[in-house]
Amino acid sequence: MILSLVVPVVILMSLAGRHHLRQGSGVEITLPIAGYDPRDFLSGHYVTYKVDYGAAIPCQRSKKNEVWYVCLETKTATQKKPERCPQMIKGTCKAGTFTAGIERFYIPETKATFLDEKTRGGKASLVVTVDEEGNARVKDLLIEGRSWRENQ
Amino acid sequence: MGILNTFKECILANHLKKLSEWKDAGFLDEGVYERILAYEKTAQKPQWMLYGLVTLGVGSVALGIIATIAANWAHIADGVKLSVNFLGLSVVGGTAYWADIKKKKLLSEGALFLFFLWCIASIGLISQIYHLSGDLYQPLFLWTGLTLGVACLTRTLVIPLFWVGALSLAATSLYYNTPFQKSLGWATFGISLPFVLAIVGFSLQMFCKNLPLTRAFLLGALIISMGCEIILYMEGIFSHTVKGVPLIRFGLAGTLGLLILVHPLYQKGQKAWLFAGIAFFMVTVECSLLQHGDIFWRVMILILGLGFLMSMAIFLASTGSKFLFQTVILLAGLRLVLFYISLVSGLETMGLSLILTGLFIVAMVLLWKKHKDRLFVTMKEISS
Repeated sequence: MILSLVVPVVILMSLAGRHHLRQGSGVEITLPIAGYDPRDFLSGHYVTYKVDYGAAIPCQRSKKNEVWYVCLETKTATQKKPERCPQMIKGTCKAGTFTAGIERFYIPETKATFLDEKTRGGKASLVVTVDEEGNARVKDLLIEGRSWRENQ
Repeated sequence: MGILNTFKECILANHLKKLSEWKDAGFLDEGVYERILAYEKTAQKPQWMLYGLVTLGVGSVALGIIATIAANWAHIADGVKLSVNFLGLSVVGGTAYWADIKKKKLLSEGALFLFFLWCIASIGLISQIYHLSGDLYQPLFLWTGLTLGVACLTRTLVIPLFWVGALSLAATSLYYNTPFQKSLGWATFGISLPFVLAIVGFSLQMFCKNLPLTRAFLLGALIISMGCEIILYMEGIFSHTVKGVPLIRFGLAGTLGLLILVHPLYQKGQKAWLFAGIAFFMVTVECSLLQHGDIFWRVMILILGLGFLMSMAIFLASTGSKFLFQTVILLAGLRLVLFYISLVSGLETMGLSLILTGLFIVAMVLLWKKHKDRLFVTMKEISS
């Protein structure tokens, strides 16, 4: 019984620790976004948005869950990992859209309307950290160049 | 406390009145009556009203804490949120373990259920703090994986039922995200899922006879198969586009049949009813896939669907599972109501049909209440 109760706690703690470490490491990049605000049954309020990578990713013609790399330097999308690109983001094509796991930012309910308006108005950008493999993690949401927390 | 004592005295007075009636009617002799009387007057009874008020108070405090935290959620540091979460999870887990050692069954089961729910809440909190996005199957598979031990340990059916439900939902979400969804279609998945659950349930039963998780798999298979049968029936009426892959459904039905054939725990009669259930389900599904929307086929599908549920009810009665038996009979009743609703359409008949539906449900409940025990015994006799 002890194992059944201890293992979930340990795994969940290490999961949180892993995400914390990853968020703090890697190259920091700021990307412009535009989006909307639905409700998530699992984790409260969040904003989802379309990230502007500056490159044309042919997801409409791509197969489901096909992996793509976007090189932010050359603004090109390839299915093979680019060799000489210090800033690249890895993602998959789902339902005709490129997703890199950074399309959601959780916010307090009271700030939902304000952030929704700003995001829709094209005044928002996203700070992400990217590791060598192109895996991106969300770090902060900027409104007119300042963290959303400073815009309260 | 004065009110509580008065309340207790009222209950005792009612008990004594009933006892006196039973003694006068000859159900109890004088000796038994005296012994019950002596016991009722001296035994310490649980103070349900007191417990109720304490629960109300504790619930109110808990709601107040949750509301306060929610109001200040944005101002609480992420590290604090995570620390408090993991501390709470550990305390609940520790309580479950302590209560299990001390043989406090109710507390142990309650803490296990809270621990089970707290795990998915923790996954939600981590995804909120680190802004993780992904498909529904990812947190659900993680949750079911983490809590498999808890689902196996529990002695009640509650956690296993939630667990099997979450696993089925995760499988559905995963299927949606694979190319199979387009090539095989949803009908194939819907028919396959209950078969897979039943195969897992019967296989588990061979190794752990009395595991609640086994019963949850089998009950899940039964509920999903009925849901699938209803969806196929409705699809057959309205869309005329239902398709399925015969090799997969017949392959899975054959595998389940073989498993039942070699199952060491069931007698011949029980196996025969299980085979009948599978056969009825397969024929119902095939008829629905033929997409005949006319009244003859709709009645045929209803009869076959009820045949499937009745076969399962007889099998469950033979195993002595009164709760599952009653659940299946309830499902059969719901199936009848659904068929009836699908027959009546249009606003002009809406009022009358609602009245008839209401009367039908009331009649069914009254009949069920009156004859449920006799029905259970009869079905038990049929299978033996």
